[in-house]
Amino acid sequence: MDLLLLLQQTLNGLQLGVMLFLMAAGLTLIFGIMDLINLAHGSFYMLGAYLTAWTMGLVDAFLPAIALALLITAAVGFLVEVTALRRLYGRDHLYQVLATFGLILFFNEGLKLLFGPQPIFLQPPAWLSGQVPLFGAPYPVIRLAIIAVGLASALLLWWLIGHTRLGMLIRAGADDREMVQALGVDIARLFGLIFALGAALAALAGAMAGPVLAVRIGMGEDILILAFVVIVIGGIGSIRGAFLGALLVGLVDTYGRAMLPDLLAMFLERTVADAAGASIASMAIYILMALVLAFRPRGLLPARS
Amino acid sequence: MSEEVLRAVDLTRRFGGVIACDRVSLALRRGEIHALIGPNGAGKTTFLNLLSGELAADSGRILLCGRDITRLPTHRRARLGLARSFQITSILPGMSVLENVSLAIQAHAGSSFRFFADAGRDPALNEPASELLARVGLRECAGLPAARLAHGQKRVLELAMALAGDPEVLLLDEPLAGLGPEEGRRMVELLAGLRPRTTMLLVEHDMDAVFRLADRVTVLVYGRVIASGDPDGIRRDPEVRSAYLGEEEGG
Amino acid sequence: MGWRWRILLALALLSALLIPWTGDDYLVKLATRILIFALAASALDLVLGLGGLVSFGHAAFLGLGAYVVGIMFLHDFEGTGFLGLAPSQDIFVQFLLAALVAGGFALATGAVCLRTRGVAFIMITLAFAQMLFFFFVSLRRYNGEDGIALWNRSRGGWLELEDQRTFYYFVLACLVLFLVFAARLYHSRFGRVVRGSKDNDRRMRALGFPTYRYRLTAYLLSAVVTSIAGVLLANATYFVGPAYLSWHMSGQLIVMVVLGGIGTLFGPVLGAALFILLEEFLPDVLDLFAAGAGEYWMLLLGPLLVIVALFARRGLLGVLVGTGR
Repeated sequence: MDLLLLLQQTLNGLQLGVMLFLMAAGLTLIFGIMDLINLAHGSFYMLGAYLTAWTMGLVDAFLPAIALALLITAAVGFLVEVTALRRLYGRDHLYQVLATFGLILFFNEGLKLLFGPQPIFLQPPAWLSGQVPLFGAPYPVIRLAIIAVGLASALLLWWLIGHTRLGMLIRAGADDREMVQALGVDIARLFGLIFALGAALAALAGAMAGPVLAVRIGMGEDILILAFVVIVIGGIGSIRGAFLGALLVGLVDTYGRAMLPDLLAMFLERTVADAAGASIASMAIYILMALVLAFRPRGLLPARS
Repeated sequence: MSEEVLRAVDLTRRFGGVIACDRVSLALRRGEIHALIGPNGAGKTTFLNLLSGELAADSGRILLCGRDITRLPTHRRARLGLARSFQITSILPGMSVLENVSLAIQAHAGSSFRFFADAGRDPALNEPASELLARVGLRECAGLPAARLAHGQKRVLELAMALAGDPEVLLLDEPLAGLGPEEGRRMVELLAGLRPRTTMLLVEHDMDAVFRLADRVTVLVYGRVIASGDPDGIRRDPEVRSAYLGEEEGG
Repeated sequence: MGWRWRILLALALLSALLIPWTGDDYLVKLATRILIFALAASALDLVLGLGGLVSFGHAAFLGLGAYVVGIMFLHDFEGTGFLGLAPSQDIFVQFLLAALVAGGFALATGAVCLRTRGVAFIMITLAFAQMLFFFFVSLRRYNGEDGIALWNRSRGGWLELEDQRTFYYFVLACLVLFLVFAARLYHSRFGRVVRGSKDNDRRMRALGFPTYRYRLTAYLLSAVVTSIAGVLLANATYFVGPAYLSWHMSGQLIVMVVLGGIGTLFGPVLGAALFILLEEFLPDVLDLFAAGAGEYWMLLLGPLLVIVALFARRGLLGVLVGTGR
């Protein structure tokens, strides 16, 4: 096994992992504290990507463009929470699924109306384009930047949750929702804030994904399901679990796709190995999820003991 | 000496650092009403959950008529004759009163993997159900949706469902909770009438009811048994008075 | 059921029987499509309405049924064997195969899913369906994403299924048969246990029911019937593709059930009809207001679903009747 290739795939896996973490962190908080299943979380990811493409046209500087996109998405998230989702807390999950599924349709069609059905290719700014030599082989700068931003966000979240008042409320809310309410905390505002934070994180992931993958309608759904798998593996309501789960899923998926066909080629004929490898690799993370559930039904690092 | 129908031996259960039940041992004699009392948080409901199988004990054993049921899941214990009523009324709101009881009887009336026959018209289920409802005084409500009963009636329905399988042992978790004086009196009469066919372990806060009904009383404080014996002896026990009854009389 | 409803039901059945006689091929095709999805939605209601389990992966069973047809067709067409056996295009054999495959998948995934509840259950059913989706996309042997186009329908013995009318009645018969079964199931011992478990699982276990077994069985039954709808769908459209396993499809099935009336016998049927009619005609209606607007009809469907979720949880049937079953 080529060590350099292994390193590159590891970095790719980390990159996917941190993006998944950004998606999963917000989602798992919303599941754990508000007991709300939000299918439209992927739409925030998509919004982040589309809005960044749009704001780049206005501002022409990458970082401010992203910041603006995040702000707008957070505002949209807050609006969605206040108007539609607030009434669904504590309701049967079925109706949350129905409503958020409706939101997905709305956002997909809405963005299609505004931006057209064709994918948009977002050009990263000059200082993020290009490649750096990594042990002799070139590796895209932007992917390294994504990893850095993702890890920084994880650290920021860790600080927020562990060392601020808001974080304390979040942890308390994850442990015992009713108790937090009984303490007189304005639960409505807290939930709105958490929702907006989750939306912003998803938008950040989307904004960074834009230059790497294409910006297209429905891009949120694919990553959302991966985020679900991350949360189930990590444990619902647990940020640490989301981090561990995200890294695991990112690495397993990347390694699987890169190495499984070659691995199988050692035993099987090439074309069969390629086909089988591709198929099994596409299922790898779900098999991982099933395995984890078989031994740890509540995930690897569940929120409550 | 009457036999023991239920015996708990050194049951222990921890939650994190807290010991909810600390080597609790208790034996139920056939036909008796045995009350379990203690201040809030003493571990009474935890103990019931251990007995019914909803919680797994960290250590200790449970014997039902001599048979070790420690590792059995809740539904198996129920099939073996261990029934229970819940502290927070736990009926099936989507069905009628009769259906609630009929379903409870269905659990002990052969296989439920039957897909075609209308169970709602099965006399083998409906007749015993009607009888049971008559016995507890709910016959007039048989056709009503269970959700529409008054709180007191729901508690009685709860009891009826637990009795459906003619259980050996009945675990009662605060059956008088939320009942007014008249309803409470009726519930006490009902429970007294179940003796000696059904053996009961009664967790209650209502001291009048406890001392009216109980043959024996066990006191649980901070997860540990501090006294056990006949009601008068318990009433006079100084340790019990200070730990529990003292709190009540103080105030 | 009151006499008014009996009359309505008789009228509906009569209309259903008369549709092929209108001679309008388009109408018959549309009605066939509605009946097939009515079957799938009704099957989903076995877990959704009866069991209270939000399965977001039912498209997997639909797709598995469809792929049985597609794969059998392809091998028969090529003259190759499938796993060493001769392929069969007999629809009844395909029903059996679909039931076995979907049942097996339901058993394997259900064993994992049904040990969880709430949000986790929803996500896990979705994940497993996605897994199958990607599996079929990656399967180049069966054209992956492009899917398989069928040149002929399955053979129905003495039934000429290529004839649109015969096929329509065949599908109608399947639906009616299932609805009769579902009606009996609701009141049966099994149905009561599943309904009780939805209301209060803890209570049911305390009464002595091993509820897990019942939920798994309901899940299994639902999967098998959904896969049969998949077999019919493949035949109706002359096409099989991974899109049948997409989560949009799973979502649409849920929408049909809730739109029509969850936990009722005819709710899912109504919901399927409503959804497909919307899908078919709303774009044309919108085009009347603004050219090209019809393409974005889901822009209206989205908020409609939100409104239904917030204010009309009992669906169309609930609005019409006022109470449930």
